[in-house]
Amino acid sequence: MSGYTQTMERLIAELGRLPGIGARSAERIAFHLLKAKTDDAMRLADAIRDLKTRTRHCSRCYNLTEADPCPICSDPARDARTICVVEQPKDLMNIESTGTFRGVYHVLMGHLAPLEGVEPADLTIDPLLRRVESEGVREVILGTNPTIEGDGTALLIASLLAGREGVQVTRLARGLPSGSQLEYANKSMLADAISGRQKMG
Amino acid sequence: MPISELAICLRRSDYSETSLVVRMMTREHGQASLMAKGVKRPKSRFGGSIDLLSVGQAVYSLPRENSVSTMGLLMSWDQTEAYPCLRTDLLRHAVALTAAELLARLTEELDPHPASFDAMIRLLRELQGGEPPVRRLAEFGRALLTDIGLTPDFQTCAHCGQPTGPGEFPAARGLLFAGPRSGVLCPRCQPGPGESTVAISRNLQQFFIENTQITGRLALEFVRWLVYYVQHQIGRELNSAATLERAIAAALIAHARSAQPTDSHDNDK
Repeated sequence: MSGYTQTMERLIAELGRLPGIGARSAERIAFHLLKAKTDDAMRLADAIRDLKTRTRHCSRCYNLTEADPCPICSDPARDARTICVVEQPKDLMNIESTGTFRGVYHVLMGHLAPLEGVEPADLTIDPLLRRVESEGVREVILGTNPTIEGDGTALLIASLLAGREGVQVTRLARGLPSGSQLEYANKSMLADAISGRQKMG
Repeated sequence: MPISELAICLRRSDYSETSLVVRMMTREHGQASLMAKGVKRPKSRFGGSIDLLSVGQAVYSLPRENSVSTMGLLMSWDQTEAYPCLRTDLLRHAVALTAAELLARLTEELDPHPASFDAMIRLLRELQGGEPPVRRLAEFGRALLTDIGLTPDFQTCAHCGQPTGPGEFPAARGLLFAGPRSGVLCPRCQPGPGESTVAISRNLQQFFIENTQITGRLALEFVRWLVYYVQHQIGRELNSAATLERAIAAALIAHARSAQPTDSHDNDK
């Protein structure tokens, strides 16, 4: 028995289930909400409710959206024949924030993890293949994470797209981050940088 | 007392925003679950994250004997080898994952198997060196079974106890391997009703009895038998089995498409 009211205990328990929030932090947030103005607390409650009721996945690219198709898919100025494949909506946001990519996206909703039992059927690989088939796609850019599992996912997609006429499959470049120093690069980064070296001049 | 030794990352899972729990296979202490605190921070002392199947020098401490925790602490990690082929070749990728799962499932925590560890390192280096992947997986599988004492008896029938060697029956007559009995059935004996079996060739039997070099098509038969056998041993499916079969199928399709069979996979067909 903690001595808190049932409502308070319930809130602390729910907050404690959030990533990165332990029991002490959950308690602190619960007290903060208790002390906050009712309007402020209700705005948070409304934001959570709206997130769950209004936000969904785009039926084409699986990005998070409130309108279907999402603003990126429905933007006529974007090149719908170039698809960048990413693992998560937040990866899409990161690429989008660079402002350099004018194609469209496809979110896989994860990556293959054979040792954890995550198989192709658990991802949106089949819808991707259907899009490539039906939307006249010319280039698929594989933007999965540069981890063994992300690369394995990219390799599988590349093998499934192999032999399709007129579809070029590319992968995001990798190696040394700009502004870094060779001295602090690990072996994988250096191996990537050497194998992905580019001609100059 | 911190331990410093070579290790292979067999598994990694998120613990928090910045930390990972990694399952390391170490040469001298076997598998160890270790907390890698702050590893995901951009400027972590681990010099970048720790990826699956990466090999490096690990400095770690194990939990004290009277501790309730079963998790040790990874203090530093210096990746010593890189295998870019696992990121560019689907079959090599799948072979390495299958080997990692076999190693993880067939050895226990803090139960060292230096020979199996060395076989895994050798496999990764051979994959990077362009060796035929399925053949190397078969060699790894045989070394692993030998090291942990799980090599089945291929010379005696698991039902009647009679010898099953090539001299006993015509070589053309294949054998059945019964997973539940962990042994072969001679041509005279039949499996029990509903008993799971898989047909094996005499060449596969010879591979075990005479410790011969594995070649060509036999490697594929061996690897499929190995998956079947290990699944019966551990009482569950190998997660990587489907990935391996997919990669083999993709390699076969790529091979069929290719007019010039110069790919290293060809040696495995």
